[in-house]
Amino acid sequence: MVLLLTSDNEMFSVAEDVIKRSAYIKNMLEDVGESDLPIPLPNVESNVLVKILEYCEHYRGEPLPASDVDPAEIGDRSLDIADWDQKYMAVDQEMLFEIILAANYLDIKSLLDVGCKTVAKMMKGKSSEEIRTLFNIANDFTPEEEAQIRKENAWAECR
Amino acid sequence: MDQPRLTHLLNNRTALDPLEIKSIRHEVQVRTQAIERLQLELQKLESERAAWQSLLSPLRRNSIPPEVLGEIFGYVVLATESTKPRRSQVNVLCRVCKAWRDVALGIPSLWAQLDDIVVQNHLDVAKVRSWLSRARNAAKMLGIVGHHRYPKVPNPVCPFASSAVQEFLSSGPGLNSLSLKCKSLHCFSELLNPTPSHGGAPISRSFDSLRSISLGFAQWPTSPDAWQLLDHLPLVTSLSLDLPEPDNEEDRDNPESPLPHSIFTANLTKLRIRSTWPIEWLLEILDVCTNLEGLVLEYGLGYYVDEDMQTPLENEVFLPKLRSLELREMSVYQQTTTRVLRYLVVPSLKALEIVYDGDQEPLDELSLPKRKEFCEDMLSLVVSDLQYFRLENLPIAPASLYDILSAFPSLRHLVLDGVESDSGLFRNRDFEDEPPLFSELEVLEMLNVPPSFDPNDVCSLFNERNRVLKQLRMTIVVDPSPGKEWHAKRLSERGTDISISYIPR
Repeated sequence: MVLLLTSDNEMFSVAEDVIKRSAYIKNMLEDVGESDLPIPLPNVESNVLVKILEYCEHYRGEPLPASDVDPAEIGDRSLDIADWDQKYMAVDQEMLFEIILAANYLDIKSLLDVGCKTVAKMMKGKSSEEIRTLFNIANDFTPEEEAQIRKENAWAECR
Repeated sequence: MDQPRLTHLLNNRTALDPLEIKSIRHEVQVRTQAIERLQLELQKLESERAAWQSLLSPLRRNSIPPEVLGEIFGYVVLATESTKPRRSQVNVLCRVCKAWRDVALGIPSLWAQLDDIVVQNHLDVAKVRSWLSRARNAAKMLGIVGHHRYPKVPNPVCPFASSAVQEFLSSGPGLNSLSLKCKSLHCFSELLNPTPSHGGAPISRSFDSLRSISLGFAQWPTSPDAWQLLDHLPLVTSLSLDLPEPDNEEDRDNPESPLPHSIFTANLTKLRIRSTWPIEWLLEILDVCTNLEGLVLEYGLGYYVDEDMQTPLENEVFLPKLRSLELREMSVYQQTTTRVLRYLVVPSLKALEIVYDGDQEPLDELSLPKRKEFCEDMLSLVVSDLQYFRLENLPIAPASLYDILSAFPSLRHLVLDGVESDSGLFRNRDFEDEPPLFSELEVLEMLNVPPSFDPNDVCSLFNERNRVLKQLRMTIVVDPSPGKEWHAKRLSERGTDISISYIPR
């Protein structure tokens, strides 16, 4: 078993073959060897780690991606998301981005891909304004800047 | 008049004197102004709240690393609707906020693809150059579609005749892939011919380093010599040709294709041809493409096959390295569009896709057609280790489908999309007398199939044979019937990832 300590000081005891889906933890275990000391995860809160472990548990036993493969080559570039992954990602926006951040930090490429695809699907077909509303992003362009950008790239809008 | 002296008027029905009316009007005005002040205050507070809340936006608060945001952007651009060019989605991302624009500008791959730029008068080369410069060292793709202002302009000028376009393609930036489409082969003469019109040494062109080129033109050349222009195509590994229909029977009766063989070099590993050309021409072309690994033949619904061709062609075409073969845009009304399969020897073939056009009228037949010609074509295909087969939009009798599928015992992944048949394919098979079906199958996708495919029949075949699929996906175009999922549940319990959904017709 591997001990993990979250940023809000919760301790998790996790089976090694489950958490090894995280390349970060896997490398750490290989470098440090067996230890009773918990691995601190200062960037992951307990509620997020619970979700991450749910994912790792579901894919327990599935082959891990080879470490010598170029990350850009891993995973298909289609937007297809497996049914289970879609249900898993049906969370509020805050949790969705927390999962993405944790997947990035823990280096779980397949989960990061699913998270990025989920966000991309939310943005699909939306205008800049609609994306701002969707994610509550402030428009920090001045009207002049916005007009300039629009003018610069107008030629690229249509076929 | 002060307010307390007026208050009693709210509770009785006494008549008002002029002074009271004036005072009441004043009270109304005071409250209207107060409401307006509060409304302004409310708007201000809402605006402030939105500004503060924007700081809590997950994207902002969590400081998503640029590389992750870039990954998301990559998928967003990939998901662009087919009706829009991908570059329009890049523009959308750049206009969200300054941080997103900075991230987008830092991702070369977002700027590497400029496809289907329609040029009527002239191509703004400076803008194209500026756009592609953001792609830095990423492999760049450029696609230009020339539109002659024909027939409104008396002497239409081809957009490709512009010296700016010629200069751009000659001097860079270096492109990995180029697509040119216009009215006739002649439109490309200035671009492809390396010899300047005033004589002298051939011009060195940056697009000689292209790895992939796509060329399309709609008019059959007036002179057979015009085809020799294609001799000047760079030596690419991937070639895509959208070819015109022969103008007349004389052209079509020519035993040889007009394409110069020099364009099908040993470098060529991927070939796509969209044409209505006779099968003899296609086979003659394929015969010289000995190193092909991927081949796509698009028939454009008008593919010409001589229905009366009784004499089989003499030679088979040996493509020893071909791993992927796609036949697309075929018409279900033409029985012989797959005849090319009879002449191909493709021992390394792993993936085969046969896609009929999905927008055709349903066949006016009472029973599902046997597709004798199609079966014979498929069964004559010399292939030993086919692993992936996709069949789309074909009505076919289950017995015929069974015959075809059982000829490929090595299949691991089967997709039947929009295939009109029934689950007789899966029912009551005598396993000992018949060839094994699906003995190696791992993934079965039956998409947009009619309700005649019963999930119970599909799943029970694998249950009875004790075979475990990795994944079964079915979408059935109709309302569900109750009690159809028992076998699915059992197969799921044994480890198959199952998805069965019903979509309204």
